[in-house]
Amino acid sequence: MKRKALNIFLGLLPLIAFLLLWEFVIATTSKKMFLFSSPSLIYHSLVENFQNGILPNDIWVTGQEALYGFVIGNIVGAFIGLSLWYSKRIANLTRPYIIAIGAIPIFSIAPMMIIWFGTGMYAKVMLAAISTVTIAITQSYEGARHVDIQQIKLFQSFGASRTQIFSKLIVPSSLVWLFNSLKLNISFALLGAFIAEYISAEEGLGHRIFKAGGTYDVALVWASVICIVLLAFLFSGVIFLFEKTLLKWK
Amino acid sequence: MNIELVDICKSFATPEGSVRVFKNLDLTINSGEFVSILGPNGCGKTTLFNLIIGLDKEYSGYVKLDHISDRKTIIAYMMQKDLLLPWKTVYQNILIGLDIQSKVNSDTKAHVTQYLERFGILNLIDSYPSKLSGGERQKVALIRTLMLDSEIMLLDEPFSAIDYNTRLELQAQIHLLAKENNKTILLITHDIDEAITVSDRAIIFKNKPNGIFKDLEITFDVQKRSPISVKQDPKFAAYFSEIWQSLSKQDER
Repeated sequence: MKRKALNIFLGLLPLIAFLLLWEFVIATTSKKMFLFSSPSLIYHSLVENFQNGILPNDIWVTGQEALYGFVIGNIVGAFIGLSLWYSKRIANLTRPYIIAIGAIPIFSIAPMMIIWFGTGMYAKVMLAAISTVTIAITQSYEGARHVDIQQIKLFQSFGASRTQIFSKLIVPSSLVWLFNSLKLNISFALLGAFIAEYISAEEGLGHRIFKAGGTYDVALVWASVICIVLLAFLFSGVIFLFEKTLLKWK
Repeated sequence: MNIELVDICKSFATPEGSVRVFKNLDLTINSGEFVSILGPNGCGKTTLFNLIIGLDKEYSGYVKLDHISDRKTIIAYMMQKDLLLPWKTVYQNILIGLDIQSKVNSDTKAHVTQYLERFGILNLIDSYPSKLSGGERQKVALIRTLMLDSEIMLLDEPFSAIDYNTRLELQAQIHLLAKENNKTILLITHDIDEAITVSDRAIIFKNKPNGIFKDLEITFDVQKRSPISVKQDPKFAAYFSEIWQSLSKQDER
């Protein structure tokens, strides 16, 4: 117990040192304060904007967009990736397209998403989904591809059909890879939602950062960034719980 | 049920060209026989199993199994690796084959329990494979194979990676089970002791493109055959020497 507390303290030590240094250095001039803000100002901004409801609303909006995009992108991606196991030829044919989609900077297609799907939640969800789908495809396909050939032969020796091999062996075997994809995609889903909000939105953390940056409210920018990090921690925690439940054998 | 392989020719395509594994191979295994197959690495022992069960269909000649169309329901195949699914418990792993063949019924659990008790691992019924030792994993894989209750069992070096004591225990069990239930068993092994201990017949394969180098009948005048009792029989040394010489002669070539 003592050791655990010590480890936590040691882990937090660099952060505490950095915040103290930041606070100390910035306090020397008001120009630096204006440009960089300070931990105490950020804290006050966080408290103030939580109390007036601005940040909770933004967290709710961005969280929803990222969550829906995350779920859609991962489900579609996992479905496509696992389905590619059925046909090596289709997998080979589609590989360049998957690489191409993955290579597109998400920022570059954000304006088109706004044009096609409007400035509401739909465009943000779509961008979050597109941000996650490639990783979900590649990870689930790799998971399916890495199933031990001997294991497939064993199932064949039982007389298993291709559908039985898929449902009873390929899908469960790929779960570890799918969870890796989920963990990676948390930040991509948040990034997709953030970019869409940054370009055009009325609310959300991306919009808040854009607006606060425009008015040189650096403390609020940092406060919003902290909220995004907290959202990522929340998503990670939920994925961790799911993983512990579904992969309890690990 | 007899297994008959007639005039089997089998080749593999490799980057260096075609490699012939079997050339006009003829082999008959009689119903209820326990046959060990020995031979140098790469001589086609596992390929033979794949042909018998129908996992490999690219060959000429024919495998006769009394005209059974779906061989997989009457043959159980235990591979070298235990291949337990890590996300399933011991009990669930044992049921995989039965589940695929839709043979799980109300008696299944009692049957599994009997086997687990017989092999001394009943306490592990709800454990995951990651908690098992190599020997325990192999026992689970063997029970999974036995639960299929197939007339023919193909065992591909099932005991090669486990400790000596467990191996002797499993050899005794598998021999007893085969005789109790009149199973036809083919066992691939590199262990001459093991082949003599459990088999009615030992077949030694030649290097590829091969055929059968020696087909040796193994009999003992002991009432209850066990790994210990056969080793005390004077015939054991003679069989060992004969098989050893057959294998060594191939190495010299």
